[in-house]
Amino acid sequence: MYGYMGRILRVNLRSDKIWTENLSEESIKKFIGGVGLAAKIIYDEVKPEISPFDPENKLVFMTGPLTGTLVPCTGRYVVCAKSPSTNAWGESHSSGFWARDLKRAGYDGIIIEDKSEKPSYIAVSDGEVTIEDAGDLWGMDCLKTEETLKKRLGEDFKVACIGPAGEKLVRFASILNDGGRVAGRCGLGAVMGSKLLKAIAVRGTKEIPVKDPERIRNILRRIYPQIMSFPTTQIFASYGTSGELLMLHHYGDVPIKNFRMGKWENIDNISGETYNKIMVKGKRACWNCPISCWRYVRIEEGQFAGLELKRGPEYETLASLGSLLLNDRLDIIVKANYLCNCYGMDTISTGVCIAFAIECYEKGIITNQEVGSLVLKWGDPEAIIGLIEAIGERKGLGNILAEGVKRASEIIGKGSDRFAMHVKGLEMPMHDPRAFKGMGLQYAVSNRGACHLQGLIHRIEQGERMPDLKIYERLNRFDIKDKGRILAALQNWHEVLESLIICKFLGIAPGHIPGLYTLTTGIPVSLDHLLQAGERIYNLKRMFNIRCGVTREDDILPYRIMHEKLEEGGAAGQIINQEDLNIMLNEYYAVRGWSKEGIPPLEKIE
Amino acid sequence: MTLIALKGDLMDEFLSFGSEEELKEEICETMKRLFNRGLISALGGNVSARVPEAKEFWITPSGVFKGELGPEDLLKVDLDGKVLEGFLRPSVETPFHAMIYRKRTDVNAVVHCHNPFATGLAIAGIPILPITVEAAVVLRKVQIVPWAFPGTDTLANLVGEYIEGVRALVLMNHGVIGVGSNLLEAETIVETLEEVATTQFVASVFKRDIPLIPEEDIELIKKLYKV
Repeated sequence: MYGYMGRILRVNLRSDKIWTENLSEESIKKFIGGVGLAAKIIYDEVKPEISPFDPENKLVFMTGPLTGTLVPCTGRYVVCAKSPSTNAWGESHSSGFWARDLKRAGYDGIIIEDKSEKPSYIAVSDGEVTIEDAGDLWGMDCLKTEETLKKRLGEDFKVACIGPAGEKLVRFASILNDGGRVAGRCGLGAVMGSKLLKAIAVRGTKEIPVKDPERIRNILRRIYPQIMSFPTTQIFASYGTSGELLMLHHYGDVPIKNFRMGKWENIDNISGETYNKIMVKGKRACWNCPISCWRYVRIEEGQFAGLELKRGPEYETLASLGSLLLNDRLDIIVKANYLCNCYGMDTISTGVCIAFAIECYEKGIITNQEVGSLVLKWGDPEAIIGLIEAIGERKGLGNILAEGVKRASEIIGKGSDRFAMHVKGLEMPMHDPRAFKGMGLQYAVSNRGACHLQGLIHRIEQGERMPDLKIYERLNRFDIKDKGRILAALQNWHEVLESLIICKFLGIAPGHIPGLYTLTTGIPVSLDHLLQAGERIYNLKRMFNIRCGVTREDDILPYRIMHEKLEEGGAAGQIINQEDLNIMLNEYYAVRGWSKEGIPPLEKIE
Repeated sequence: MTLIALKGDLMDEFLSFGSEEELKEEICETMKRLFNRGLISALGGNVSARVPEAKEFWITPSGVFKGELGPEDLLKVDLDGKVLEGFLRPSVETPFHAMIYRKRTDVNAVVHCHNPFATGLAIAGIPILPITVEAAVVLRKVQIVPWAFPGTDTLANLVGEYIEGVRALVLMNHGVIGVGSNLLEAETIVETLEEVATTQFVASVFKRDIPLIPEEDIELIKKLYKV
């Protein structure tokens, strides 16, 4: 077998049983790898009615057939389970080197079953797998945990771990690896915590077999100029993802003050240009990545001078812990990001929960009795840092916010649901759908809740075309027509990328992928075949959600997006009302061949 | 180029088709010549060819430097544009190549170049005129296809509409297409088109009303060359 290692590791934490299963040709053909295989496993093995924290929930880490190979940007893994954020399909992605070394250790993935009786960690070293006691690590922050395990096991181990937030079941707890790469979304760190699993350390020295490496090298050498000339790739190489911030602000896309403002005079203080000039000390890359979007930062002055992050804030974090909170201090954003990494919490969800709390306080819905000594004011550093610590430790108001913004608004009540920014329970990412209405549809229907990555339709709405997917149109970002058809095509393609697994930041045209897959695995495929698999995977996740109780009524947007217009900026006057959303949903369901209730026919997953 | 006038055994030999491997070699040689002439740029232009009556054709890839293609870089696609063999991304213009083969059973080679003069004249609204014997004999009627975004089915459909009965097309704001019963013939078309366009441009710089070959002589030439 080429590309694949051919084996998936299973670890039962209650019985300490460890065994492997061979990958079947049938599953590869239908589900490729990565998120596709994970979806199949979750769909087949996780009962939809269980709680995400039930020991019967399974935590599936998967790599793809291209992971760790010489195809660029292939250092990623996906982790999936029933999500504590949404009570439905949960997936999250991270990059770095952990995934490559899991494959080099001989495995395409790890399935974690049941729950340990005491805190533990898993050590994988070239086919040797042990479950170890993690009593001394429990309570330790993510960065310290990684450092400790590397000292204990060897520097050549790569560590994916949770922090105190995961242990305390914060519903947006993350899994952190390689000193700051994060599987942040959907609270899968809390699922890991519920199993009392602190970390998975991997060391691998085996060769990942590739069918025709010379030919792949030859192709890559020649398509490289085109890949690197892709505009987004160039921006990310020069500035990291923060390079898009000013441009997106121009569109009215950057959320400000909990999605209440469309324009902010202080935006330049947190722009990619400013950030790279005064905070960034260097660039870093994940495995085999020519882009190097990872920024190494150091605070030089002030209260937090000397603080360094191997992986500093990127676009989403600059917005979620910056503009969303009216915080224009980069040092506070960096400090807040650092704390989120230590506790192991998603920066997007954390920012949305803090914005929600400040607005509650501003509106008098919560008072000093709930918030203690904190004064919840927009842009206030003490409020931001204090709430992060409170959430990470589940103390006071933080204990409520740790439930995620949806549940927090249900607990607090008093109409606060009208500014709780989430879809299906997953907090909104930092793209305001009033600026790109296709993104509104994407948030509404994405299987993991409000997700900006599964489709990236706002790129098409900015003028990008994908002829290989038959996306030629210059779309008006405020129109609703055709968004369903285009989104479905993009989502199917993104399922392919996340199954292979290739980073979406690589500007490689879909038409190049079948050849690279074939030369890696020796399995001939066409683009049509891959896209059919992508569609099958997408539908399988939807079916899992349907079984979890998701209905058309859940394919909706936050009240604020549907009823409140921004007064200024590039999206001034825009909303996506129920009628607009219904038109987009009807088109989208029809293109997907779903019923009017949003249910796929069974043949779509066969 | 005298290929068009060749007759008899020599023509039969010239038009004989070898193996698919030879066809692929020919495609690459054609690309190299067109690149060296400046009609195909580093990333712009594409060539395809098929064995007569075949239901599939070989086409150059997209996204790689066009001046040094080898046979292993080519892709075999069917008449719906689906890739059957090859590892690179097929030309983004595969839809109009496939359309031409579907519409024209007499065509076995399609060359798409970015001819600067022929395209420039079309953008300026100036048609290619019968100013030389080659223009009359080789090119005959050159139509201008209205603008459509490259790589789209819309462009392919327009090309399918305009390609009936002609050997050369100019794509507005884009480039040119030459078709032929083999690669040399298609290559000849685009080269001749550029030669005529250049001549016409030079003439028009110095003289407003360019003298054309008289109609009766064109008729004579057509009879002579049986076109």
